[in-house]
Amino acid sequence: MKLTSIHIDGFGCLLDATFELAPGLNVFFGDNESGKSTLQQAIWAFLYGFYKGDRKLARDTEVLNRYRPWSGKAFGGNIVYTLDSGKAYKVARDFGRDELRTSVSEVDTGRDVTKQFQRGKLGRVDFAQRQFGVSEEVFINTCFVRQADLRRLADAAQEISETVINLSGTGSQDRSVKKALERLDETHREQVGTARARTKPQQAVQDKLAGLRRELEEVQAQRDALQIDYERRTVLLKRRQDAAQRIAHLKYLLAAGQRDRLATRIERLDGLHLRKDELRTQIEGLKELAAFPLSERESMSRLYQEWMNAQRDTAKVGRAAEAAGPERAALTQQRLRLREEIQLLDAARNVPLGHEPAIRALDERRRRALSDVEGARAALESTQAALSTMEPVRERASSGAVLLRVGPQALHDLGIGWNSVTRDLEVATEELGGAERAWRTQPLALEAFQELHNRLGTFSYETLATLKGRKAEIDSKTEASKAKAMSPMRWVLAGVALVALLGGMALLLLAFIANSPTALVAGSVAVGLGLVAGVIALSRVLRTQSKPNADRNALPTLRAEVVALGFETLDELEASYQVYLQARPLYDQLTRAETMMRDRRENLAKIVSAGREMLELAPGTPLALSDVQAAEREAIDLTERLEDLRRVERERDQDDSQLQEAQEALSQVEAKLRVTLVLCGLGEGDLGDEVDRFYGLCEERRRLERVEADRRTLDATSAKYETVDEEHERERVAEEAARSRLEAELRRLGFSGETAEQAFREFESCCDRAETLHQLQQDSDALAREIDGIVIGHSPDQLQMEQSSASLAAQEMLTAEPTLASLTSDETPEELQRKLGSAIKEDGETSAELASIVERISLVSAGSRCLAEVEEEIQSAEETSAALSFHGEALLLAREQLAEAADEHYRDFLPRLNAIVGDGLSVVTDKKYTEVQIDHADLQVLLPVPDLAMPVSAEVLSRGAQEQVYLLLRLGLAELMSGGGERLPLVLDDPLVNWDASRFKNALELLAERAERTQVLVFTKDRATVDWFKSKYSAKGDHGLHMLSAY
Amino acid sequence: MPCKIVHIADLHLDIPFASLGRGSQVSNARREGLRDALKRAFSIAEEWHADAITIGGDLYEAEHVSPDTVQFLHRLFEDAAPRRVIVAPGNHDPYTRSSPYAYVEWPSNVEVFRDPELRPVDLRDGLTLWGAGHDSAAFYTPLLEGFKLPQPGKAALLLHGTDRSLSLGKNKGAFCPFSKEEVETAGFDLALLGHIHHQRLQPAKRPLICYPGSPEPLGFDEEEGHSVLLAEWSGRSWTIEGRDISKWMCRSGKVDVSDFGSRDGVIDRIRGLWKEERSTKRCLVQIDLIGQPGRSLELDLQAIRSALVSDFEEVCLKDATTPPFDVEALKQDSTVTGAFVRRMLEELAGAERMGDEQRARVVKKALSYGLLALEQREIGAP
Repeated sequence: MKLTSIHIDGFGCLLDATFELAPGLNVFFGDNESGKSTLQQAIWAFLYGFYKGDRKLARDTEVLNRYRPWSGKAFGGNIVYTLDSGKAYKVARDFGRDELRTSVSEVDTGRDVTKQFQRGKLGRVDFAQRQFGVSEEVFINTCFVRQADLRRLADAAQEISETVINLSGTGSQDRSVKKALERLDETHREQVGTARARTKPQQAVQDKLAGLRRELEEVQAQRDALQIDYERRTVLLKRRQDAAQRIAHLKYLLAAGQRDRLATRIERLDGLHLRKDELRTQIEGLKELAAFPLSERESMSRLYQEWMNAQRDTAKVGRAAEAAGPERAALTQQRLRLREEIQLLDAARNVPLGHEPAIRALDERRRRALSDVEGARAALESTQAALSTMEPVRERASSGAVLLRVGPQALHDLGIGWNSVTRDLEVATEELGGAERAWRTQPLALEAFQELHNRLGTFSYETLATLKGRKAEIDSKTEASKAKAMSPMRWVLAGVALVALLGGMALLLLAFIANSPTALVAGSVAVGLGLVAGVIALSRVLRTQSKPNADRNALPTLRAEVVALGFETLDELEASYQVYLQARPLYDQLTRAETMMRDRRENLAKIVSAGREMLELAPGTPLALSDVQAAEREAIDLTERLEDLRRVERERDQDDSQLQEAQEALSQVEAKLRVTLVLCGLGEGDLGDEVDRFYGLCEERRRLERVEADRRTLDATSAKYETVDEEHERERVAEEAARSRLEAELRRLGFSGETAEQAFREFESCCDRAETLHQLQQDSDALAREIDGIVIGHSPDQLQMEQSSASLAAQEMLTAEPTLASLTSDETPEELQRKLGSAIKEDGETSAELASIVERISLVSAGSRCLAEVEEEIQSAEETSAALSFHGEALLLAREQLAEAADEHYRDFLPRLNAIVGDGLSVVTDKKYTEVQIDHADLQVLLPVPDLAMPVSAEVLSRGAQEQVYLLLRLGLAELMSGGGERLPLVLDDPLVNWDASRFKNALELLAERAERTQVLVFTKDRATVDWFKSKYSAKGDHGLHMLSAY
Repeated sequence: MPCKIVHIADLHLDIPFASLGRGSQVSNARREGLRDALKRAFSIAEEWHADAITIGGDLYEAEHVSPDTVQFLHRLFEDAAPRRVIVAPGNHDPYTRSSPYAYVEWPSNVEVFRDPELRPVDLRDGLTLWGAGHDSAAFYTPLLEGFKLPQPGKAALLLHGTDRSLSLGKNKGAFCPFSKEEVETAGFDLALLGHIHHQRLQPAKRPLICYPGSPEPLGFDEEEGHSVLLAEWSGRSWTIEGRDISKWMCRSGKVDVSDFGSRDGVIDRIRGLWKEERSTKRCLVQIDLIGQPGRSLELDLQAIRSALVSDFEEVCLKDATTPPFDVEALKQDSTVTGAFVRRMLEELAGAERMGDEQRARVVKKALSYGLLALEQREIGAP
């Protein structure tokens, strides 16, 4: 943006004034009260107004009133500016009215565009904020530099730096990265949302999707269930059809069966009557046997059977007795041999075999006990031999009692501590050596430094800088006074006075000689003039000399302060302070090393003392670390050997004890064994022999028992042969008796044949015929009953009628369904009837289930949405979800990349500002200062000082240098700000007033260079600036000189 | 004696319409529209005194068919008696143990080709109809390969299959493929077919291969060719007539929004599309908004859709516009904006290098969002 023109109707001392501004450098020159500050304030007021809000604050009103026109002219005017885009606007302000009217119009069209901006009360229109992109605060603190306010930046530092960053970042205050990030965040939050924000779109869609999927599962399940129902319905329909067919079949079978059964009954009745006649004829032929005693047949058969059995048994026993002869002789020989053997073994018959297990167990224990005794004895002998070799250890233990009491661990700890202290001491020694060597690198003796330290210990660099500043100021003023006293003007006046005086006197002399009144008058006037000039010159010189100088006492005071520190001059003080500052760290290092050395030595003495006490050495006895370590090794060795000795002694005691225990156990076992053998009747000889004898007797006893068992078996076999002969005789007698009983009974019944066998056969024949007669009579009775059963109270005619009726019914069914004719069944009518009932019942159940399924299908079909509809909604929700995910991903990516782009950009901000300010400072100060470090938070400037390691704040510099730094800081901020937004003009109020000539000229060149890119307005009362401008820009071009004195 | 057949195919009853309509109301109306189309076909059969109605497969969507639809079909077929209804199941309604064809007790006038091989049914006076049913959703057997009628005679074919001469879309498999030559070689006088959703009669003069197309469009890629076929056997030859019975139409197009300062202009532009056709049919449209909208134009798709609700049954809008920024100029900028644009363009190049189209779309959208946010402009919801 560039200011094109300013017209002032009335503003402070300025009335009806118009300024046409050049696009580059504009210098406004004028003396005091020529209106420079007023014009500057007018620019401010035309752009931003007087009031910041809609309320009239007293402070702002006071400013407004200060610039109310003196002459009562209209208070206000207009300003025309052109944006970087080329678009020009004119802002007219009327501050005279209460409402402070403001209008903004386009220059090319004259169209009033005030309404395009936000407006408030008191003429507030935010065109500047909107079009320039900076607030009033930022504008005033960067582009608008007033000499008095040059250093005030800290208050607005935060806003300024943020604005500059934003403008340099996005080119517009409105296009704020922060706001953009907030918008992206808010958009994501509102249009997508997170999993925690249940009401936001993404989660809402997810919830809906979950619900729809559940519904889909339910609909699927219902659909599956319906399909099952449909399949079941088809099955039931088929079943019902089958049942109807089955019922028809059964009914037909029943009817046809009835028909056929009646026909069969009639036919059967005819047959029965014929059979009845045949039976009657047969019974007549056998009626003489009607009284035969058929009941005797069983007893007679039994007697006959008994006789037959007796014959068979007699024959069998006879054959066995005949076959046993040879075996009986061999048996007798064996029995004799066994008897002899029994006699030989008879001595062992009384051996108590029951004691054998106990004796064997005791014998086994005795053997083990014997073995234990032998083992224990051998171990004891071995241990005693080992013990005898360890006797010297006892003597060593008594001589090293102190070491054993202290113990190896305590000695080890002492050695470790000693080692550590020794190492610390070595380190301290090295450090002390290093500190001493370092100390010797600087020139001061230790005493000289300590003396300096006493004087300058509390002195600081800031105090030195203050003293130097004061000295420089005093010197400057003194030089100025001298220069003034030696001013050429005064010498001219003195010369003029002398010439006038001499000339006047010469004229007076000539007038006196020539008696010329004209020359007399001229001479008198010349003398008078000379006197006057002389008096003036004299008075000026005298005034210079006698002028009470307020600074005159400053030098002694300064000197007194320096002397109080023990120095003659400030230079001496400064030189000594520099030397002191250089030596101070080395001194501190040396002191620290000495202290450490002392501490370590004390530690070593303490640990040596502890060692002597531990080893019970007299104070002063020499003791070295190697002694302690040797003692530790000896203590360890002694302890270990003593431990071995005690262990072997314990082992010997254990072996001895074990031997005694084994011997005692052996005695006990042998006593028990002896008693047991005595109980068995054995003698008191050697225990081992007696046990072996007992074992031999036991074997003989067992052999005797086996032989006796064999003999008993042979005796039993021999007895069996004798029994066979007796039995044969008994069987023969029984056979005779059975035959006699049979013959007697047959005779009683009237049967007496030649043999008993023949008589019995005759009896059997009569019995058979009598039984036939009896069977025929029973058949006849059964036939009569059967006929009664078939007739069942009906007459044959009735039966015939029933049969005709059943036949007709079956025929009707057959006519309706001819395929029934092929049906047959072996089942009874009852079974068929039962099946018919079952089929009817099943049909009823099928119908009921069918009705239930149809109802369920109807209900389920009506109660749920169709699958396609649910799937559509799911797909729609999934598409929405995917779109939201895509949207969210894009928003997050935009946010991430924008934030990273901004970070990247902001990281460059301070380095660029440092570079701009540093470069400017280098130009202005002729490279005395070439770089700066600016704090982002408060825009505080630090400068590296060549003499010091640390950078110092610009605040410690001279006022002129401070002004240079802060002017350049503003120029840097404005430069960065213009990088992205409008290039705003710099408005500078006598910024170079305190600068020395060299820096002044450099600064003007810098401004000229800046004016090539940015409009610069410099207000000054310094003619040198005008001279520089005229020499720099001889021809009228893009730069302008405005002489305010004309107004 | 002549024989008349009304042939339909590819009803796809109970099909989900997620790609067509966002609201279930529209989708339900679309499904109801399919039932109406079937009813209209049966009405035509009655008016024309057809002997039989043949259905060339995909009568319904087996995965979605509802009991209600099964009952609807049962009633409709029953009411059509004694007119015969002959069905050759397709890949979407295969004859399986669990399909309604199997578990429903259909009226006696209904005949379903149950087997995955060609079987004949008598039509009239020695005229036979041969057909087969798909037995799964992936029935690729070429039934006509090497097939010849056992006895030369008057015979037609009813099948759900793919004419090999057609190039199908990527979603259309070559189910039960055949060729015109195979139909001729087999000895058929006519092939009544299903599977292709637009009408196709070949040759045009005396058609042998007859696809009626689906009676109603099922997607935006099915703008034309929806009919039922009226086939009449004179005793010596067949005559075929296609009759458009559709009541719905699907249209898609693009609208360049570059020249519109406000969305009213966009709405008016869409409203003016297919105006004449819309007077007789219910219309679904899919519009891609293209071009570079001006800074004043806010493309609120929801608002545009709402404004068009009385003009169309459904409006599917897709924002395919270019963001209103001069990205090439912005990337030269030394500001954060420039840095942001450069970073995003690098991201985009990376995604394109990797062939990651989804990532590239995200990056483009993020670039647009970032620039809108920097200008403090609204970022529209998806």
